[in-house]
Amino acid sequence: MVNRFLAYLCLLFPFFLTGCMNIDQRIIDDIQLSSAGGYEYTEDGMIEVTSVYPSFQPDKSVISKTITDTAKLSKEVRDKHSLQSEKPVVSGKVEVTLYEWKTAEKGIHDLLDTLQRDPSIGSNIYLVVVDGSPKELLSKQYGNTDTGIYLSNLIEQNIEAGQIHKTNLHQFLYKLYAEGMDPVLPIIKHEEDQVKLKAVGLFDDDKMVGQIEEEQFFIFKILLERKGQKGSYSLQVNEDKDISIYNISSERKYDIKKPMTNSEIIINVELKATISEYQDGSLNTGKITKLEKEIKESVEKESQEMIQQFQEKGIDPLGIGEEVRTRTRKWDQKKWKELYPDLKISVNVNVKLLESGVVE
Amino acid sequence: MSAWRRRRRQSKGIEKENDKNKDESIESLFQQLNASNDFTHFTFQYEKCSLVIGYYSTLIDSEILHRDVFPFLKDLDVISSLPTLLPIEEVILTSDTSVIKNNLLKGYILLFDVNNMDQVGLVKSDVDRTRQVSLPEVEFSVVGPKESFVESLDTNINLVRKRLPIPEFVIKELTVGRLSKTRISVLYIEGIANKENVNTVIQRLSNLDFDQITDSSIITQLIQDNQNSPFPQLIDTERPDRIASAVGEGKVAILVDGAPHGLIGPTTIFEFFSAFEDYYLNWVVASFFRLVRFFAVLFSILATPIYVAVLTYHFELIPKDMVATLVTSRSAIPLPPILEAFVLELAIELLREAGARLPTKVGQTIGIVGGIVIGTASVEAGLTSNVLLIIVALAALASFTTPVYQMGNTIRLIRFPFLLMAHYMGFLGVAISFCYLLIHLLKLTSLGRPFLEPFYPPRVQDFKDSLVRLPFSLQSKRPIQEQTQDTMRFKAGKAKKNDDPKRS
Repeated sequence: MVNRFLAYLCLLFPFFLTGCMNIDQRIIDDIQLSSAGGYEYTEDGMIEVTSVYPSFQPDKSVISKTITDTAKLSKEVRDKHSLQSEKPVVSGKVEVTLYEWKTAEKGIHDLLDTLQRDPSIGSNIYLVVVDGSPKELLSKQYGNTDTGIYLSNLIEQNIEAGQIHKTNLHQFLYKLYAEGMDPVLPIIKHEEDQVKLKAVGLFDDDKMVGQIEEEQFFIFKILLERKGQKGSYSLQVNEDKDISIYNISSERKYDIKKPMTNSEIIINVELKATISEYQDGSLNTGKITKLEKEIKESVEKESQEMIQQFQEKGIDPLGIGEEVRTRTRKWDQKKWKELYPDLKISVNVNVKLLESGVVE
Repeated sequence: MSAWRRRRRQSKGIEKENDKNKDESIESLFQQLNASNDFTHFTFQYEKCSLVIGYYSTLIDSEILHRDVFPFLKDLDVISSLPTLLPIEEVILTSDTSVIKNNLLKGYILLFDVNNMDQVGLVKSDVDRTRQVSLPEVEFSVVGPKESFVESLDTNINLVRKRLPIPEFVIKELTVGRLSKTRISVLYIEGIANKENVNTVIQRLSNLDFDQITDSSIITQLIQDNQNSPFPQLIDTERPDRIASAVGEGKVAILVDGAPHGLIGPTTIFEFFSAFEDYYLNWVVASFFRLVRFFAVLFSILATPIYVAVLTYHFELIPKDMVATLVTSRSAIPLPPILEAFVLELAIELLREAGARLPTKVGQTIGIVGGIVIGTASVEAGLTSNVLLIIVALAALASFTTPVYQMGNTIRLIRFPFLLMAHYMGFLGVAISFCYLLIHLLKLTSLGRPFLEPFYPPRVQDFKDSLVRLPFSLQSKRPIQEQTQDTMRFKAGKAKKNDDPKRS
């Protein structure tokens, strides 16, 4: 009986030690929820961080406010931000982080550390490169939501609609640390009162070295994703008549005969699409077969060019190296880096137009 | 029917009250009885004998006395001829004073000859002043029988027995309570119910030493396995069809005289969330309703604690589109989430308590006052956020979906420790509380059978009637929980066979 009593007492003790648990309360209306952060290196090597936080008005509208400060470390800036704020600034609800163009070219690895280390920051936040100043972009109010949430919605919506590939902190870090792969990030630009998703930035390790323009998003996406969906592609067929197709499903398969040698690597893409717009009159089976061939040639040509561009820069955003690595017993990153620029990589696209719409 | 009733009554006299001094004389008995003003006795002088008649005027039906007893007494010569003389079936001849006393107190008339006191006669003429069998109010169902138990044990047993017209259906009667002398019946089916379960119930009941048993809920509290648990371990029901079905399943039922509710055991926690109407509805619909109820329970226990935990510690978890709603609704509130939640939870509990204590007509106004005035006013006054108001109201509503009233109360109670722990440690606290709850439930037993069956111990077969209710053709076996002697309810193959003539 006494033993049992003691046992219960021991079980109870941890509850009296709540003071030692160091769980600090952060009640939602007593903190400043930062929703986006913009990073920029100043000329003297300091980091200038702009953070946006929503200020909720009593009439339920939201006003975005920004705080900017510079310091050597990102978290140090956060403390400095708190000095300017009525409530402590917390980073748990950060949805987007923005990097200035030059900063991205200089390398963002050091800036990512705080995002990885902070447990309250999820790995599904978006990273974007800004063409222009992030401070300027963030200090504007877009729509009637908070700027951070607006930017997050902008990117999320485009990923879901299939305009751009899937991207977030996790994907970026995975590609950054993977041996046969380089990361990519979307680039946004502030134009008048709008923010536009402009291009996709290509990274060599953590440094931005180039970009893919809007027109090439489709090609990049079908080559990047093993199984893709959505997204549309348009091309010119005879004279100034255009056709636009919409991706129903695309499947990408690598054909690597002899990995880690100079032998050719073939990327097979099975593209099932529907015609969403066609300017050259009615369609019949013969015409569709002809169109399929034309689309195939165009997509292949553009893909080829894109890969060529990657090879010249020595970057591998498509993760071809990763595909080779999975097929190699003794992976040697150095040897691959030497091989990669001169590899013959060809793309073989198989287009099937499944539907041509309801036009009679 | 009267045959078994008489047997039961007669055997009862022997069972108990042997400890009292036997050789108490009738005179001293009369002295004791006369202390009460409603005890009447008088002497009649007839040709052949002089009869003393005594009874409690409040217990007997004077119509029986005047119609069926007095007119026949003038032909009486010896007491032993009473059973043949009177048109009443239940006449006891005895000389045991304790039997006399007990039966007088049950509404019997005492008759004896002043000259021959060796044997006295006891004639049953008790008045049955109970209400009529009426609609079930706690466990109302739209489909299915609409009878519910009343306060008379005999009527209640009759309601069950007419649903189980087989001789194997056995009723064992005991008397419990030093003051109340309450008759308690244990109902089971010989050959189906596990002997161990029956013996457990009978042993626990007969070992009871208590003064007044005024309701079956007292029996539940006294005989359940863990009396300190907030969870009831015996099902409380007012539906005779539920008792009959449970007994048919191999369970043991307890009926208490004076209580309009019967008890069923052994049981599992899942049975507390099954309304008996589930068996009258199509299995798909019934299963859906059951799942809704289980969701309601989880929601009722966890909704407010999760709100408190998220708002106090884990703001990261709030979806980005909900941040604005939550923050604006809380911006004007001076209280921390825990106090805000406590204020509202207590308000709801007050409303419930006030509604339960007040007469029905006043109770309706309480609902209006509570729902409209307190709810909206507290939001407007900035004491609570409207998001929390919705959560608390839904959680309260969800707790009322539990078909067994006692379990509903438990669900409402265990929300509070969760709430406190959510405030102290956030989700960690909720998780710890949940572990405690789970451990407690794992340890609980109902008449020695595991309470969390079929999850623990895992018994796949018993899932057919726990979280969901599968069709009857799959319910051919009785639940393992009861460890029945006869495991088959019916032949599964025959139940599934379709002998309809084929249409051409």
